[in-house]
Amino acid sequence: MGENPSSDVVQGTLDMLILKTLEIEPMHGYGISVRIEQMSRNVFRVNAGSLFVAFKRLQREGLIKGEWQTSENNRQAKYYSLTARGRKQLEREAKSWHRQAAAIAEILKA
Amino acid sequence: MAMLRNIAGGLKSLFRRREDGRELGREVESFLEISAREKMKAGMSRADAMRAARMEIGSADVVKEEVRAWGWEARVETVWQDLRYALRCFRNAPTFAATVVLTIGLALGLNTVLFAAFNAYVLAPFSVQDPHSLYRVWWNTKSTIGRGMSWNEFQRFREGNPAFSDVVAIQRANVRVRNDMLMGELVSGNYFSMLGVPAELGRTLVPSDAEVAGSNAVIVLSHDCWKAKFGQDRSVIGRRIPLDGHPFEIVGVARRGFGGIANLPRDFWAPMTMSNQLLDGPDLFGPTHPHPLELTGRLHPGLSPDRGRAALLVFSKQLTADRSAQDKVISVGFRSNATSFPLTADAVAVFAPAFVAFGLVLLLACTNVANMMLARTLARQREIGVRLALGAARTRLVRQLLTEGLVLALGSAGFGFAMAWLSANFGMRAFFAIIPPEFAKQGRVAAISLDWRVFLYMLIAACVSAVGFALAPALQATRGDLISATRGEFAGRQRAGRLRNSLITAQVAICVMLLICSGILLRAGRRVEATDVGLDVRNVLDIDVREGFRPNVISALSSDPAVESIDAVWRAPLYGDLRGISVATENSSSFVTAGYNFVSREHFDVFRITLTNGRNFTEDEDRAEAPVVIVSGSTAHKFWPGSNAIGQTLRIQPPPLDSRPDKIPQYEAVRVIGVARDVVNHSVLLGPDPTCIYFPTNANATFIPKLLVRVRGNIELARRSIQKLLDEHAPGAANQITPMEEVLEIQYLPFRLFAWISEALGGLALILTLAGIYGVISYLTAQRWREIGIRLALGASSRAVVRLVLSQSIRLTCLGLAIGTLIAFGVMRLVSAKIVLLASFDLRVYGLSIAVVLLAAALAGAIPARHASRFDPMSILRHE
Repeated sequence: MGENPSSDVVQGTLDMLILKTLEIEPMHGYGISVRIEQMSRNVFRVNAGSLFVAFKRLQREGLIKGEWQTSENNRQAKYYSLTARGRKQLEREAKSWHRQAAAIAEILKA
Repeated sequence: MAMLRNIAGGLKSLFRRREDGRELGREVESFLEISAREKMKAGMSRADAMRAARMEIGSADVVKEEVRAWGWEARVETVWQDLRYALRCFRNAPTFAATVVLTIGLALGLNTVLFAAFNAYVLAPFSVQDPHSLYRVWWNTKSTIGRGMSWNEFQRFREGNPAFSDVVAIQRANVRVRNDMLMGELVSGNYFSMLGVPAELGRTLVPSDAEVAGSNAVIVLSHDCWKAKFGQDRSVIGRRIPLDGHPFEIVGVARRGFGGIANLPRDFWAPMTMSNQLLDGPDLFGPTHPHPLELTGRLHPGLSPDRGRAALLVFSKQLTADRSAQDKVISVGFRSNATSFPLTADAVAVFAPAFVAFGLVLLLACTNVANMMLARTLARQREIGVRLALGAARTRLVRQLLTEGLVLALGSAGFGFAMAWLSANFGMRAFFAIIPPEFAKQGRVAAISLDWRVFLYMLIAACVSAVGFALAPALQATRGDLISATRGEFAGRQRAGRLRNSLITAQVAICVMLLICSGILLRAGRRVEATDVGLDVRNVLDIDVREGFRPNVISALSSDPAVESIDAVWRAPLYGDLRGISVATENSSSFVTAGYNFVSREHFDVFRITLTNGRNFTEDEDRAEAPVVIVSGSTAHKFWPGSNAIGQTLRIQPPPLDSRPDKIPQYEAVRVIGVARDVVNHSVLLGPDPTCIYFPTNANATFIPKLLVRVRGNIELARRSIQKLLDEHAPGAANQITPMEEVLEIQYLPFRLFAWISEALGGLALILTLAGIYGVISYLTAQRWREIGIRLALGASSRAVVRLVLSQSIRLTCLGLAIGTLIAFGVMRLVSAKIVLLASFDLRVYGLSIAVVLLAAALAGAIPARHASRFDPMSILRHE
């Protein structure tokens, strides 16, 4: 990953990253994409299409919900927030991710 | 839970598609707006920021499409769109749609009728409780394969067998009711309770009906019989009707849809204990212990058929352990009794040729429609090109075109189903109308119902044909490169041409093959009907007389002025069975099998069989069944070639004890007194009998069930007067009075039936091919109008243009003809190995079929060719 500074989000982890971003406060779509890029120190780039599809998917699963609100500069934007189920799901996925990542790291070390 | 939420969410979004779309649009818009605002904060101008934001997300429309396409509801929507689009297309081209529906529908309907027949006999189980646990069982002993059971054996079987929870015994009984025949069964008292069939009306048979021999003259009618013969009259219960002259009380009507568990549906069921009243032959309950009973049992739940069979074998061996070696059971026969015929390789083999022929017609219809679709999609090339250019995926377009095919196929299926229903109903009536009346009375066919299996078959056939006629054109049309496609030019012109050419070639091949095969069948049928049977069957009646009534019947007949002469025979000719016996000449030690029959001296007069040599039997010889014989010409030639047969001696070897037919000559040697002309006793299929020996007999001898009567004047009038006479003087004596002409007709029937069906198929194939070639050539000609116009302008004669267009169709046709003829030749070689009648290579049929197809192809090409030769070159060039 060193040679290629930005890459698409690893398949299947985008949902988890979105949940993680929303852990602290509700955010709108653009905010989420910027936050993911920032948090990953610009390693991950989020494709807008995938992002909106992920929103639809997460909403369908009842993990997040969206609401139209007025943004800081008086613009209407759809803000997403975690539901109780979403919070639980994030915990579960984070835990299993850590376990797997640790296991993979062990294997690579050996 | 998750799935439920997915379904609910999908449904919700399916119903608010528009709102969702609008909201998504707003969201993407706000996304861009915020993104641009951020960039402006970093110092970009508004225009630059907007552009950068757009660059980042790519096309907003693509994003929206991506979101829309997610989820199962999107797929539903696509299908719905495709359907609507297809229907719109067909509204704009109703003739095209109608042609397709008609073509495919007709072929599908034909195939459905065939499958429905197959279904009725082989697939659809009997309408009884748990039909798949019913198994028929029979015994094989050293002397008899497929031996039935005696009454005693049935009782012991019922009580002691280890495999069945219950067993029923069945015996066929065809009886005369006034002027009609009823085909029924004698059954044990547990028949209805084991099968779990209730009564529609009244009651069914119960065990107490069939306990004491000779008791309980009651019958239960089948629903179909009640409907056909008694007009669904509810007051029949309690009524007495004479079966073969014995009054039986109708006690009930079985449940609708039940016709027994035999090959063909039955009209009634009577208790087995009435056997002696309804059937000839030895007393079922008497000391000789005849064993005609067929047994069907219900396998214990949890027992596999193989284990059941093994257990029955052990049981049957124990049961017959104390018998002679000839009578010991060596194996048991065992087969599923769930359907009329078990689904075996044989059953499939019987239906396979028909399925292939009918399937070919469907294939032909499909190639026709495929050609039409190809022409249509190529004409729509520009539309397709534009859609490809706008970013439609190829799979999406192919799916769209396939959906169109599917809509057409389903429409055709609907039409075909109606066709099938009509032909199943009227076809059956037409079939019975062509059967000679005396046989139609006995004819029973399994009800052909269009049940879910037929429906499923139809649906699958329709889908397969849709793929067949829509897939290739769809792939073809969407293959092109964008630029030429948007210009409306042919994509892969070469390939499209090749596909079309192979379709035409295939059509011609199939058509000529069907024509050749049907021609050969037709000619074989003609040959059979033209065969001289050597018997004058006109004005001869076959009267089936029950034992014990013969003196009465003969005296009654003799008093009828319409009766010319009466012939008593053991086996009436043309019923397809001439028994064989081992004979040898005086000087030879090798015995050979020869056909034989017992006839009275009037036989040769009744059938106008001339005696070419010697004399007829005398009355004394008839009465004494004397050791003299008349042999057929071929027999004389076979045993005494070149010398006079009269006065020669034939030695007779008694047949082995257990394979004995009921009547055999009781002497070791006989003297030949006459030679008769060769006739067909056996079957027209096999021609005149290779050997036939007539022994003398008389009407009062044993085992003489038939009286053959030559009458004067109108045969139908004579038949009625004889019937009346018998009803007066010997009621119940004659089961049946059949004109011998009808017996002969019945032998021709299979050939006529085959010929008709194959003619119909061949004709249909010819029409389809004609239409197919015409369509393609006129389409091609229309495509080449520029080229033809230029040729004409450059001075080509109209004849040259005709030749140009025609040569195209003729070239393809010739290739198809060659392929089809070769296949037909191969098929006929295979078939004739089994059926000798079809063996000869019929050059005329091949030549005629080829000529007909060639002519049809020329005709189909000639019309567009003439049309092309009349193009006005000036207007074409101006158009350019």
